[in-house]
Amino acid sequence: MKKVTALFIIWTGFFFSVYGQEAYIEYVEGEVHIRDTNGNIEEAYDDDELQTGDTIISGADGFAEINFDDSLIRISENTVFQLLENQTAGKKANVLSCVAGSIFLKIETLSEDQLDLQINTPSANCGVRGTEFTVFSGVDGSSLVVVEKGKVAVESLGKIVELSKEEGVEVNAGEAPGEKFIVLEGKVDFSQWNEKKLTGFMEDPIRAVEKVEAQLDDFVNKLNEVFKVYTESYNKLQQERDKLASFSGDQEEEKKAYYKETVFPLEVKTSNLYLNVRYYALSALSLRRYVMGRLYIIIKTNSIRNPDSREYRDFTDVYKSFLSRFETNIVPHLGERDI
Amino acid sequence: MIKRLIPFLLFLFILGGCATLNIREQEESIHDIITLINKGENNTLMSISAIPFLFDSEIILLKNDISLIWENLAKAGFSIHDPAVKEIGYIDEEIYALFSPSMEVKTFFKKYIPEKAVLATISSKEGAFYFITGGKRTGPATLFAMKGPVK
Repeated sequence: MKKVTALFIIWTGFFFSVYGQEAYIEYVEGEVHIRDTNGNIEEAYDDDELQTGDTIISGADGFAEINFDDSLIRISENTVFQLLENQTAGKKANVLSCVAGSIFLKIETLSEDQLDLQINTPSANCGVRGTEFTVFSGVDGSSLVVVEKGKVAVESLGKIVELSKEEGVEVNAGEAPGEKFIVLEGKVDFSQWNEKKLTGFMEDPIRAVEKVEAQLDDFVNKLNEVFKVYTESYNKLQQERDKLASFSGDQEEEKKAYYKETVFPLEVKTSNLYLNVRYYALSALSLRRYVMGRLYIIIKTNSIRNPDSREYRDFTDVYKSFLSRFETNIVPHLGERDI
Repeated sequence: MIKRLIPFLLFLFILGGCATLNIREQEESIHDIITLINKGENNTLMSISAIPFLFDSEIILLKNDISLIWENLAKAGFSIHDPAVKEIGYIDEEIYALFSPSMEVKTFFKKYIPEKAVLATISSKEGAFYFITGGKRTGPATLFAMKGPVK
């Protein structure tokens, strides 16, 4: 735990300072707030710049349009949207995460920086190549992706479904994507879809929560994998730094060259690897906060007059198991500012 | 010597008086909150709920979700019967564990609960409830956290 915290402190400063993506709020209507990486919540206004780690939260009457490197992101009401980043094949990638509610994306042409753009929900990852599509995140952590133009690859648990114009796919939390289906333009009603998800959850809350737990397990496994790679790189970096410190005073030129050729590239690599650790930890936190938190409210308040019911007790068992896994596996990678 | 002590004693007396007054104010507010819950006044409850809000061990960040708590409790016809303030006092560093011993809840208390907040333990027919309130000298108090019923 202490080691994780130490590494966390060392690298977060670097992580949040090196990357400057161009994202700002172009238009805002109704209640929209920005929660920064320290947990401060401010009302959103036109032209507000957005930073990696920011969360945009729209209320019941909220609506916002974000300019993201000249691409358009339209945030609907009751939506939680995050700007994250991770590292894929040695390169940083921007991740736009729709944690709850829905977003519409219009990505005309991808710049060099956007080539690795990912759009995520609690249960699916979408790869895009110039497209217009909508992402919905349901109350139970499931996702619905609908393409209006271009192509989108939707991935979950290693299975990829390629979508073209007027095609959609649903992904349940902790499961691979389902079969794709045809969607006529403008014919998807997110409220109805979400209502259906809520009804499904109420019919079998235990199953729904187990799926969310399976999704958490997926994040935990990926987090453990990337943390192992990161730790190896970090230890190697420490060794190289020790070696660098052993250069004597009359070896100034050799020392500089060693730093430039060996230590610095390793510093960059290690910080990039740390992005993935943060990415999976924050994804799990969103799942816990916005999906499991809401499911807990629904079940607890519905069972408040009958707390001894079998249904409530069964739910509590799975819920406690989820919390325990979260506390053991994810919390060591989080800091106070994430709360 | 005694003359010198008088202003200090007076200061302590005023300080103690203020603390008692605040506790009394908060106690009145707790009764008001319970009345609001029992009447299903979810809009008023929403307006006095802090964001983020702690519901049992869940940190609720979304206004909609906090609203969902009060709406659902009203829909369920939930009431706290025979409520009585069993204990009331300022919060200390260990109080968070009553809600959950997790790092998240500990941090929530550190970051979002003001120093002068009060914990009230309510006994009722349904079980015990914990309320954390604080805030204004005039007008209704802010509700930061609620847990219960605990059997």
